[in-house]
Amino acid sequence: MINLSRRDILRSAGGLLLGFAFPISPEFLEYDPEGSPNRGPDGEWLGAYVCIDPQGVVTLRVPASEMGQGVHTALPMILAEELDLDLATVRVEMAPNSIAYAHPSDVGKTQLTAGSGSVRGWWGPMAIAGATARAMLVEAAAHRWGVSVGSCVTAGGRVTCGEHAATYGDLAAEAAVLTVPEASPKPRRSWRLVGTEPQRLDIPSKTNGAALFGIDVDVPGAVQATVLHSPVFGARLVSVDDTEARKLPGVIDVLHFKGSETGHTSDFVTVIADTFWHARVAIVSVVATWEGGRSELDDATIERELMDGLEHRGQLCKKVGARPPSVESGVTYQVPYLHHATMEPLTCTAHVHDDIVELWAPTQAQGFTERAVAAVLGVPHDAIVLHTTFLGGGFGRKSEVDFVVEAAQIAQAVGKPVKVTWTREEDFSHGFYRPAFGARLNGAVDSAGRITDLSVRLSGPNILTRFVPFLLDGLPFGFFVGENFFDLPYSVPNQRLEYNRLELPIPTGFWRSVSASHNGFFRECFIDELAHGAGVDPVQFRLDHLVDSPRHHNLVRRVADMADWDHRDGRFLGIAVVESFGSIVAEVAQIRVEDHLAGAGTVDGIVVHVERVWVAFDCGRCIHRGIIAAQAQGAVGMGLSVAFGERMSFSGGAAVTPNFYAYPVLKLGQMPEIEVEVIEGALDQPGGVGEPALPPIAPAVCNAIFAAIGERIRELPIAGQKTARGVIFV
Amino acid sequence: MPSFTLNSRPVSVEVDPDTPLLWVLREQFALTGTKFGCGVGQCGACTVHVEGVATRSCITTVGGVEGRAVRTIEGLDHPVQKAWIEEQVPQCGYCQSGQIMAAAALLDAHPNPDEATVADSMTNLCRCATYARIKKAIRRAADEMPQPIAPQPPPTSTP
Ligand code: FES
Ligand code: FES
Repeated sequence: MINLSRRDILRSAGGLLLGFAFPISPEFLEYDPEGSPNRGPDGEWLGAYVCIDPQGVVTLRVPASEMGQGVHTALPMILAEELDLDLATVRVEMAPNSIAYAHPSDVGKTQLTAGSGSVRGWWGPMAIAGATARAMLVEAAAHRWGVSVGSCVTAGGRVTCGEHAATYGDLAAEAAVLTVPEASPKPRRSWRLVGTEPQRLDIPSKTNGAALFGIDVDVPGAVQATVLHSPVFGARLVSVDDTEARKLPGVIDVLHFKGSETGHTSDFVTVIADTFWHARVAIVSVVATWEGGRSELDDATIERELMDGLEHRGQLCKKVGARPPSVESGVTYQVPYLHHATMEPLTCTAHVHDDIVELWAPTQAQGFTERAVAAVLGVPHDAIVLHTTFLGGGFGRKSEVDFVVEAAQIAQAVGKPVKVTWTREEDFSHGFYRPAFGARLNGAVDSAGRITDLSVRLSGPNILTRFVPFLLDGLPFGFFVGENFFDLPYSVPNQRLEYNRLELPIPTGFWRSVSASHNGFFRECFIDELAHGAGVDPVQFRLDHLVDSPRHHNLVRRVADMADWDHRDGRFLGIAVVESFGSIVAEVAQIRVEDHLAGAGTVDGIVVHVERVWVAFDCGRCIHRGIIAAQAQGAVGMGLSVAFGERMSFSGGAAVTPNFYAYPVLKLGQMPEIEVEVIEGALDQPGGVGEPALPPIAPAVCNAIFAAIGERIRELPIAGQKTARGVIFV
Repeated sequence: MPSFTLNSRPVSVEVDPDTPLLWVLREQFALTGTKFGCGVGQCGACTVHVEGVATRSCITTVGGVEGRAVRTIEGLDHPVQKAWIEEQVPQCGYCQSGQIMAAAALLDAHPNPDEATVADSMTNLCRCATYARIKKAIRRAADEMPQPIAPQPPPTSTP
């Protein structure tokens, strides 16, 4: 956490500029946090996040990327709270890339927006920054007027005391020369802004076309480019015939690059043209020959490998109790690879000039990007100047560095600014997918309705392999694979968890809610199976096993009340509760099942409609209720999209899902009514908000389907699964 | 040289008439509020109005709008935009220009749409799944828009 002794005013140029230096990892020791700012024309900002200028404008540099989750409103709210400002008057700027803006968590020390962690990580430092600035402004005013600090009042960007009044801007220069005090944030009872729901600061520009996304960056003199990678994962570029492409209108050049030795990029071809459209037309005429990869890999071989991984003993990850049962006679669950499908395709603008590499990118990962570009281009870290735009969706895909590194490589080669925009087809076929996973689960319930045994075997790729291959064996198991089983909230005396790691050439990565997106499904459906086997109501069964997990217990009770679970009267309901990223979410789905008519009056299956969803969301300390509710609705929508129909397909060693027509993203007409209750639980810390509402929806819907038709859905997506009444349609 | 009306101004542009309108708007006119999402008419991020009708500009050639009136989000001034702010619809915001253009065209054609009409005409994708608030914002805008005067049935009784 924050080290108060290193708190520092970084520069006072007529205004008050406050920042904090954090203890940093050895890798960055060449950077001296207390030394003079060392970067570019903006250098004097380094490390600062609050600036009050002589005109009284308060600017907040937000270290986290805005990708829809509302962080460019939530963090300013915390500052505005402490500084007694009107939120609408705070100017928000995205911070540049700098270790000074590294996420203040104990691990990583990199500037990164991920893991539903921005408010969790930054609320403390932001509150202290605001409280410190306020204390200094008040002290400056008290000096000026010869009054006591305690007699001064702050409101609306002014300090007042009796007939004295001064704006923050007026006091900023005097405040800046004071010694930085030990200020503590307001007590909770004095909050007037945190916990309410003011309008988001980024929304007006998102209703008139003005918001600047990565794809909208327009650097004077820029050329346009698009890229082509090997369809087959892991193949190398053998030859390129660009004769036809070069004849096409607007084409400036066709270049190809070898994958970087650092592993950050693979071989690719790029067409550079005067417009994106010309580049896009021409790249179709490039004849590239690739060699290698695993061309026999397809959906069937992937499924076979997943299932093989369930057939033999895996790494033992958890063992509790005297006689952990074997999984052999258990039931098998399965989920497919998923794509992030951010609405904004991958894009980055790059310009290598004057010994710097200037980048404009919709990235979640300033820190990783800076390191990767420096390594691949062979330039020092502080040559990388990265401007982060709004992200048209991130969900983990934009925490990868590939699209930025490639743009930097192209810019270095062409010597001009270049904007690289991926086609949607490249975006789909070169993702870092949520891995497919299989699970086999077995359990036993005693005559009193208590689960005595639970054993689980997981089979699937580990997304960490790519990042820390050398650490895999030493890693505390559970990281991005075993969550939700490793830390089981249900009381079960005998538990066993095993894992078989698959090596497949398909790139995998962090996808909204990560492992909870599959383990939540496996676990919560299986708990329902055990409840049914024991003849106990699924809500009651959970409550019986959650006595030692009071937050879960409370939420299950609450969401059941919201849905009027005890009076179902022919409604088909399913429940699930899943914890992730410091928050817990319980959801109930209500579904309706109809016959699907094949025409001429014949029935060939059933249609599942999700009518209503109730969400009880315990995210600890709550900053902005409206944003939390919106994230919950959005995560339920995305989770439903996944549950209904999303699946990446593979053939010939390549991803063969080309565009949205083969990857059905949920539409407005399929969106159920969603009622969200944000419960400020016992935790005084904020929990995660962007991801945790996603995992419970798939199991809640599948459990509701069981209630309706008496059959278990153990594989996603739901569409296309076979039942006794035919295939399921959504 | 294709000529059309763009946000109420007559324009002409030197470009192959087969170029998708989307890229002419973004690259020749620097109107980047209209977004590229899929390029194949699937997502609606590129929705503009052509003669007031919501149209996917990635699959509409600039030659195809010769002599017609095109409106983009930058040229829109419509009650749905206010409703979008009041209901706090956007998350990442990337799809929202297209959503707003689709909603504005819907309400101009059906000032008081029922739920089924909204579902049938609002087929743009939103990966952030802001649909719940989109529905509310459309309802709110409809309630605030002037409604056409419908002929009143004769009163059957006087209270
Ligand atoms: S970009 Fe036009 S419909 Fe997707
Ligand atoms: S608001 Fe993000 S895609 Fe719609």
